[in-house]
Amino acid sequence: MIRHIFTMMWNRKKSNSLILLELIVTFLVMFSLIALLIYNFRLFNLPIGFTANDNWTITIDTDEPLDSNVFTGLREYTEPTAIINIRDEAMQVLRQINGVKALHTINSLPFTTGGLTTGAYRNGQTEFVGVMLVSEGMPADIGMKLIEGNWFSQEDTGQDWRSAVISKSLRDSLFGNEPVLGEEITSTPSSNANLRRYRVVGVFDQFRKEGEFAEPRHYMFLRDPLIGERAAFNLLSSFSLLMITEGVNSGEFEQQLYTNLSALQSSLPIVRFSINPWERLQREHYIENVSPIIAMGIVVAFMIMLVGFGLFGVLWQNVIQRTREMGVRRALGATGSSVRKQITLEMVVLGLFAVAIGFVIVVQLPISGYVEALEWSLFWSSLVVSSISLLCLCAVCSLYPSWSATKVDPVEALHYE
Amino acid sequence: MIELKDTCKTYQTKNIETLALRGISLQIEKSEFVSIMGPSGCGKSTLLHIMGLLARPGEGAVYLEGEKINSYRDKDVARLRNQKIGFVFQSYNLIPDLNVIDNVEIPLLYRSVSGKERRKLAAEALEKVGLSARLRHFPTELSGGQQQRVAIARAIVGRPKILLADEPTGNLDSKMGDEIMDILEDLQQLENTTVVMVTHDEEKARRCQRIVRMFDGQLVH
Amino acid sequence: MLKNYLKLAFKVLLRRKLYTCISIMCIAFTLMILILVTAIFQSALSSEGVERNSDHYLIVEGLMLRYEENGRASRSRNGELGYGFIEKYVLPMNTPETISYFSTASEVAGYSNGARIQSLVKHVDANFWEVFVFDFIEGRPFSRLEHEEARPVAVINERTRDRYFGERENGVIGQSLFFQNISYEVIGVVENIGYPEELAASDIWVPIFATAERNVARNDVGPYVAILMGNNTGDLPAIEEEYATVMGSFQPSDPQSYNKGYSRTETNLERFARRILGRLSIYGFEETERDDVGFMLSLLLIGGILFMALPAINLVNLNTSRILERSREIGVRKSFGASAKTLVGQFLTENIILTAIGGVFGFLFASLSLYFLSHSGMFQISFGYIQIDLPVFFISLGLILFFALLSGFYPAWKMSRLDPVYALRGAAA
Repeated sequence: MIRHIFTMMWNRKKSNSLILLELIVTFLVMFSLIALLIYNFRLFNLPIGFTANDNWTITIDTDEPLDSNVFTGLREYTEPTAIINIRDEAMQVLRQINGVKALHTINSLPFTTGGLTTGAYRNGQTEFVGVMLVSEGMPADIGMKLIEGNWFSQEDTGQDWRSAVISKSLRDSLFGNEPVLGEEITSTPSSNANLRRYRVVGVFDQFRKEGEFAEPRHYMFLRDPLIGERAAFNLLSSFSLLMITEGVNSGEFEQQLYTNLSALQSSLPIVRFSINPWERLQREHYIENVSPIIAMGIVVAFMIMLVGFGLFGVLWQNVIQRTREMGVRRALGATGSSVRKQITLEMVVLGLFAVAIGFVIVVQLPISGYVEALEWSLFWSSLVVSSISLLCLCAVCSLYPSWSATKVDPVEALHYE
Repeated sequence: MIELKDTCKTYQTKNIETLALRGISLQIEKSEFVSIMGPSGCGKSTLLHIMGLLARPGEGAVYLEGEKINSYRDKDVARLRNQKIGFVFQSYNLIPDLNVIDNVEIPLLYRSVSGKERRKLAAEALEKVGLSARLRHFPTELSGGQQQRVAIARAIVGRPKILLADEPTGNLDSKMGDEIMDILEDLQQLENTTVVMVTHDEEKARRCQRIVRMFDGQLVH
Repeated sequence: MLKNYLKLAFKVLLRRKLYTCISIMCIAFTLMILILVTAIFQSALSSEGVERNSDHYLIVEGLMLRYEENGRASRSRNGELGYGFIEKYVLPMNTPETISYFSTASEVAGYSNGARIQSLVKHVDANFWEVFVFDFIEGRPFSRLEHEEARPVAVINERTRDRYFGERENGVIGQSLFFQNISYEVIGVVENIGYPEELAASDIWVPIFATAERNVARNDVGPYVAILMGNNTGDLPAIEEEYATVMGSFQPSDPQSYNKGYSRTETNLERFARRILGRLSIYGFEETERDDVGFMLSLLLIGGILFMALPAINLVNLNTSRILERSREIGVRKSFGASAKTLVGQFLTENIILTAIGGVFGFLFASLSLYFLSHSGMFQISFGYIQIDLPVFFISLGLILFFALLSGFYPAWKMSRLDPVYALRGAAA
């Protein structure tokens, strides 16, 4: 039966070409949406490696111009005391607030992009690594999991290297199975003035600062140089603090924070404070990433609904037009259900043709590597899901027309001139 | 082989009820060649449809090989049609999107016959009607006579015991018509198939063993 | 003749009611999408509403500083304009009738009854209220004097009013608004404006010097956008030319870090085309070329066509099968001597009727979904300002006609080529 239908649809390819084209375009649209959905769903299900609850970041901006060369080592400033003083004052103010469990320094907001990046070189291999500069104890306080070695302490004070705790992914790509503790990573292969040396003291499981919807990347945690070694740090116009709280009502607590911080006296003009509970940053991160997907989903759903109606109409008309054929088939011994099966299968076979052609088109993406995120496993799973969706669409559209085909009275159909 | 007892059939159109058959009793024996004649609209085709189990009688009984099939379910009727009955139509009714051999195979699709077997049987049936050379042609590429021969091949591919033909020569010139009649005769004589044919044509009818005449839904004796 | 066409068309359409309904629905949804897109574009580009002066001003939104040695940049910095730059180079310009500068919107948190309210705030000068024409529901904009004296006054939009003050009978003028450690007096309330007007859009507008930013360093790069407005469109070339001359004499304020600067004016259309393609900054890291608006618009057009391909093919398919159903009838008509022209005319009439009915529904759906979009709050931008006005109506009418002809052309062509003999056999497919 299936072969018969393949033959028939193949013979009808010319008259079905436009429907085929429609199905191919539908397939492409479905594939894009489904690939996007699967991609994001997978990312979302990966652990981010830390908890957002009860954490706050407080950022204070002063009006010193921010320079993109901060931390690249190109510009050294020797008199950072003003900002250090503000920070110390702010920390003192915050410590006195009820409900504050711990205070840390941190250099970058979670659930946002941006932050510091360095190269990590070892044995001819360079990886790009996000850098977090934090105070001691901060990683453990936000629930990060250490799997080898220790978190850094002050062992690097006065050394020409920095203690680094690296992510498992970085460990795997630079070290493989070799031991890692005590080994050294450098920022660049060649030894120039800007070379930085990092000694690995520990490995943590996972850290995805950019949030659930961002690709995981390598990370490296260093001890914040603002603590202790005042001479070795660059100009900052702003700084951020991480505050861990316990049992606070966020609205009122936040207002209280504002009031207390506003009273801060400082030698540098403060432009603004921003107070960001991590949960809110996380929610915003979700909204920012999910809204466009929802918007796209709605548009695609509309399109597919249109296509569904269109196919339904075309198929129905097709059945009416082929009433006679249905009559003949009935006369030759086809039961109602086999006629029904035939109509549905015809549409599904057409869908299969579309999938085959669509496959040839979309397979170019992972082959050419033009869309980087679309690697093979994502490609195959999206292909399977979108193919099944298209075939289901075909089957659903043919439900009513195929049912109406079974209602054809053979006698009338044969008289139908 | 086929027996009708007091069969009546009415058609319901919008306002009028048409009585197509008024109490027909008719018996057709095994391997008989019967023709049914009568003016247009006398119910010949309806009679043929009822014998072919395409339509159900309003009243009365239909027996096929001694079995009363009135109460059979659609599915069983379809199976009987498929296995015991072959149809030939005036306007051939070939499926335009399928080539000759695919058209002939159709009845076998509704039985469990392997693809290879189907091909073989279809080729054999086409050989019987003398069209072995045109297996891959499409219906529109054939003449009327050839199309009708394909239709006959399609009707006999499943080796039915009964062949019902509704004016098989009606659309053909007389030479082609005679060829078709020859094939039907051969089938009846060589393969013992029961052939029932509706026709307008006295000359063709006379080639049959028995002529049944109808007028206004009744048999005329 | 036309009357006959119409009569026959209605008969044919009524014969297959469900099928006709499906066709109409598909057309309606397709046109709904088209009308929505048209409305959004129209609002973004029109000289109506807040940006009604947009045809006679130029926008300066970017400044790129570079340190160049032998034509190669070793350092570069990219951003909006700083106050120092505006004061020294922009404000002294002669050709613009009015010059306004204002900051990009930034987020601030305020508190009302213990709940945090996040709003966008823009620091603007007094000319801002001349360049952009707001509809004031209550109160007034701030004056030049208030701006210069750095009075803590604020103009807010309806949304902000509702969020801070809720339902109030006597209005909110004179109420105070507290954020960033400063208490502002509300002096005006304006209508909400949405996404297309994002150049002017914000929740709160305050004078530039009213905050701690009064101490802002006089840098070249900063948070400001400048508008150079002439009396009419004819003034624009002169303004553009003067700005280019000004940039020719530009010297970065920190010559040790940077020795070259690039900046240029844009029309509203140029800026729109650039931003819709996702380029938020005028300057990439290397290029300084003027972006080709025509190229960008044609890219948009191609994208739009691809986007609309699916519904278009869908309609063509529906129409084709509608017409092929009648291949027999067409065969008969042809054999009685109807010319292909008559048949095509008949079919296109049917199609235009269908599309017109679909168009009416499309309008309805589009208005409903605009209402839904602006009231659902699902997207963080407001669509409230997008309206289906007369120009949109006429553009949409044109689109409807275009679509009717487009989706009818292929089937009609196919029909006119139908072989009558073949059609009569009922074998056409």
